[in-house]
Amino acid sequence: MQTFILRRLIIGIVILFVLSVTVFLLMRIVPGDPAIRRCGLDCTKPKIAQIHKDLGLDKPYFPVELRRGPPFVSFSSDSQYGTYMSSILTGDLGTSTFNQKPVGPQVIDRMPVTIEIMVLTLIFTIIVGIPFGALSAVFRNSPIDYVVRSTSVLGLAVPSFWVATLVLVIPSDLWGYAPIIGRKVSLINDPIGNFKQVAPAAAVLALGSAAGVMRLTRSSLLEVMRQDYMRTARAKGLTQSAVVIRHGLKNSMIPVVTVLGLQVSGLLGGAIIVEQIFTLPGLGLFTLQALLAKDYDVVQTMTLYAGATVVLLNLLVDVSYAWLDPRIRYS
Amino acid sequence: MGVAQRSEGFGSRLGKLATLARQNPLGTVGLIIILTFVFLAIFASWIAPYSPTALSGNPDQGLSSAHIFGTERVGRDIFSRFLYGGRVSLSVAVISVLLGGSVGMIIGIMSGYSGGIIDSTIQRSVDTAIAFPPLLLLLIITTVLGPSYRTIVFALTLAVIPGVIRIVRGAVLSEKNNQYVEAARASGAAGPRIVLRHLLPNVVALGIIVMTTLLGGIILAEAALAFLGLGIPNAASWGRDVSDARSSFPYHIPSALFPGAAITLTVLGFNVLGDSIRDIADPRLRGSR
Repeated sequence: MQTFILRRLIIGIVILFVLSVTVFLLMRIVPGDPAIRRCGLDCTKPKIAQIHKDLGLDKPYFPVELRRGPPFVSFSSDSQYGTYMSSILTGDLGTSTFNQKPVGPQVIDRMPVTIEIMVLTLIFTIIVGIPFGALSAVFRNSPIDYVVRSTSVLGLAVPSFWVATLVLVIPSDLWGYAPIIGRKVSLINDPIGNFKQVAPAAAVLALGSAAGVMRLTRSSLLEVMRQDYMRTARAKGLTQSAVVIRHGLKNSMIPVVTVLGLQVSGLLGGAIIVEQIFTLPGLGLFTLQALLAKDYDVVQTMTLYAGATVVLLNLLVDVSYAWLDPRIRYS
Repeated sequence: MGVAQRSEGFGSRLGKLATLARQNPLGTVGLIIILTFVFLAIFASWIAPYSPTALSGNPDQGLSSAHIFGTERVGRDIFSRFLYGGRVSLSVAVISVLLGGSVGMIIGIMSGYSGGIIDSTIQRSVDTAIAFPPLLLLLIITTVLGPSYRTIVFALTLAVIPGVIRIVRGAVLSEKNNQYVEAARASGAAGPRIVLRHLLPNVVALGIIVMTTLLGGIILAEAALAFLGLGIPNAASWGRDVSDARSSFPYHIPSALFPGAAITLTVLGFNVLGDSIRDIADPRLRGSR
């Protein structure tokens, strides 16, 4: 078990490293020089050079670089990638160019909102997706099965931004209702207000992911119920519900857990959308604003954090996978 | 073959299609929906009562005989925009999936067939790519390169490739195992050629199935990009119409309702059709998603 986790951890770190280099390079293939944008109308060469120095753009890209002639490799102690990495690791993320405030505290301030959205979405997904998927499998081809199947097919097709927009637009057009917008409602001080603010966003996201989980639970449970050991359990005299819950559901959860882990990266994108629509002050909206304002440093950092979250969560899923199914531990 | 036999062949083929349609009602409905939207998109200029950019009425009108879906915030006809919007969404999705699917299949086959270091490297790259939240990747690429038809197709193609590589490689690996067993038992000569002849058709068929299931998601992705303001500029776009409806006060239900319904129906059609094709082609796949 330990070697399994260690191996996955190392692979995860390698993936993160490659991700950081990729994002770093992606930001630097931007056509156009940010210095030119910054210096305004009366741009002179010395002014541009000065801005380059201020922004750290005159440093080499990487600490280790290839050269055409001997010595073929050059090392630098001060490089753009080096600065980038040290700022990420030490948490000193500089100042954002689009709202002039330090980045670090903003990230910390906004993180709880996004985390809350994701956690609530996952809770909704699990509460709705798994039971209905199970019911649909157990009562196969019954009316409830058809309802679940049509709902899930619809849920996968509906764009989250559309539902979110309708949630805003319809109550407002019909009843003049307007939700809380913009400021953060603390969970500790005002749990109900906080829930009222975050729940619509989470519900919208959960529509899509619950639909997927419903389908997967259904097919996975159907697959499991066909197995011989289920017949044995019933032959032993266990009631149908005991059979389904004790043996069937637990064993069918493995692909569902995997998919839930995979859905996190999709949820991070979904968080951007719902935060924008419901104007929730979270990291998704922050990243979007930074992107539209061309503050690529912030985008770089946020992308890496997002990637790290996905990698870590998938690692957790892999580990729980190995825990759920002992056969996997020794593969 | 005489004329009589040929027409009989055509008749029985039509009969087979009809049976297929009857046994897969959902897929048939999906196909009809898609064909309808494609038809509407292609013939939009003949069917639409107004130009999608013309200020043909007063802003924010409800449904009426002049504007069957009403007008949006600056007075353009919602129904006309409903028709024209499909052009961008459908063409972008089809092109991206075809390009991405083809590239992904080639790389996946190469990766699975070669094995060793090439395979591992490609697999690690794919894992890294999948670790990226997809919407974020699309947003970054479109912002960095500037939104345009080519940029969006490029970004979406990139998003399609890693998933296809993974699935195709998996299929190649499992096929490889089958064929080696057979080849070992058989003459042993011409091993690789037998593998190629049996492997490729199966894998390509799988690839095509995967591509049909991807189409719905790509349409959603393109609509999301358009919603966030990074869609194709100056084109009638369903995603941007929903975004416009959201950002204009006071809110007006038809402006938000119809473009989104268009997206939903199109994606629904593709998803349902993809499911049916998958069920027909390989019932074993039914259990997996």
